[in-house]
Amino acid sequence: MAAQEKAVWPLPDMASTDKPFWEEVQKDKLVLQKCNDCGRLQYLPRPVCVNCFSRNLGWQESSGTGSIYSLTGIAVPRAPASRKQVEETGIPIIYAAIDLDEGVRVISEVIGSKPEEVKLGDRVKVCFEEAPGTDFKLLRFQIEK
Amino acid sequence: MNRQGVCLVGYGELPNHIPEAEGLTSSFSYLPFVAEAVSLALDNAGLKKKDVNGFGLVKLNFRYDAPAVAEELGLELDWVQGLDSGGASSVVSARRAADAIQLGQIDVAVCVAASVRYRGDRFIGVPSYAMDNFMLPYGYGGPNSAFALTQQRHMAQYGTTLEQLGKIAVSFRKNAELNENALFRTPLTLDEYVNSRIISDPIRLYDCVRPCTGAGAVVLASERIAKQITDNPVYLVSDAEKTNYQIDAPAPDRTTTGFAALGKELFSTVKREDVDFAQIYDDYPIAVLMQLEDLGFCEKGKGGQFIDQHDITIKGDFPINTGGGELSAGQAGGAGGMLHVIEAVRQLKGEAGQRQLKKSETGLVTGLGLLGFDIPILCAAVIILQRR
Repeated sequence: MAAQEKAVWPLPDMASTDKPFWEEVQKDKLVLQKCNDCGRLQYLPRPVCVNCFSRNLGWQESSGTGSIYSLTGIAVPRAPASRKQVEETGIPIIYAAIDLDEGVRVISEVIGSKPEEVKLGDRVKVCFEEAPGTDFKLLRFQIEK
Repeated sequence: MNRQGVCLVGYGELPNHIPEAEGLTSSFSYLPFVAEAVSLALDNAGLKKKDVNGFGLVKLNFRYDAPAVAEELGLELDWVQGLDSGGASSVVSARRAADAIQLGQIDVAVCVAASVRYRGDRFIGVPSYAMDNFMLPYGYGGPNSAFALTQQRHMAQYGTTLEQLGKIAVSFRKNAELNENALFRTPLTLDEYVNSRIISDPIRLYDCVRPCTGAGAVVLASERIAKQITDNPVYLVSDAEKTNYQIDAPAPDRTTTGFAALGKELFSTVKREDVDFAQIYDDYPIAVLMQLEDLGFCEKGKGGQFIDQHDITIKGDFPINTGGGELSAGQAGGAGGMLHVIEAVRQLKGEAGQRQLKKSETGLVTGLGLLGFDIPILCAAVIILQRR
């Protein structure tokens, strides 16, 4: 069954909630959702503020810098395209939970380093790059030199 | 909450097995499995189909509607519910049925869970906004990766070691040796655990459950009915659940589950020290360790030392997952959560055969379900059962 699936890189099925976020990513910008009532920032775009339930939400550009809260080298990704990439390169995907300096957490990929070079607490900076085989940009992170 | 007048009176369990061997091709292959689990549970309870007026169906890896499955089984009902709290669904199902019994809406409920895979099955679970749009594009590896982030952080924050986590897997395997329904019954060594293939570092092969085909059911009844069929009913004495713990934290503690918020309520009527054994939802050893901490069996961060200091096999001072848990018995979708409820009732009824515990008057059962985006897990549910 898996062999018959076309290995297309999984891209977001955007709704009105996260479309503005991804549109900014296409312009090399990481934006955070900001509650116009209580001021709370959140990374995962939501229909409401998780703090005060306000629907009066806007966007604020992020510094794009932060540090690694946790990470894993994924040898067996779920999506066929990512699995194929790991099989072909022999290098696990570095999947990380990153705490931005604004205090919110992002889940993304760390690129440009070998898995054994990356550790918890490392400083990282956002970068923007098309998902393999597509013209849709995703946000990823690199270790700050 | 403090429960009154609700008992668990029966259980039915099919042996877990690997589905490829069967060559099932129909999407309705679940029918005989569900029927057999329910039938075994009613036989074990000493009740008949016509006694049943409540029906709960776990929806994890199971897309069929609860009333329709009940129709297939020929059940006329006064209460029916499909449960969709992931791996916590079986414990939640028992709680919901207990609510209905305590309110007097029904006398007897059957709670069933099954996962029956057939060739060509294209059901890959329900879509998730966070997972599909914000995790899968970055190479997400499913639950293995979610728990890898959690375990990596736990190891760094508290010094938890692979050897401590390995002892959990090895001890459960020891318990499984005496469980004829378990998939894996050959001994596992700590070396084999530590050196097993990396799936999502630091999660290894022996941290993972084996998906399989299986089915299980439990029967709940009012105290009035229970006293008609047994002299030593097993009571539900305390229970609680938490969904989306820490959801309003901008950067939640990934090493903490919702159980951290439940201890006070849960142990208000039953003391923690009274718990003779526990069936802890074990999709991963790190999940077991975190639950022990969050339920207050040790300080937060000291779960590894707790494991060092206690023997958790059936011969030990604090037996956990006396049938091997999901790590050794296999995870048949939602029935993976049900096997914990079943094993607790089996032990409390004194029907565990060669693996019967010497002291089994009070048992605790947990369920964990559905993965979060930055919180580790969405649903945490727990019940405490006591033979009187």
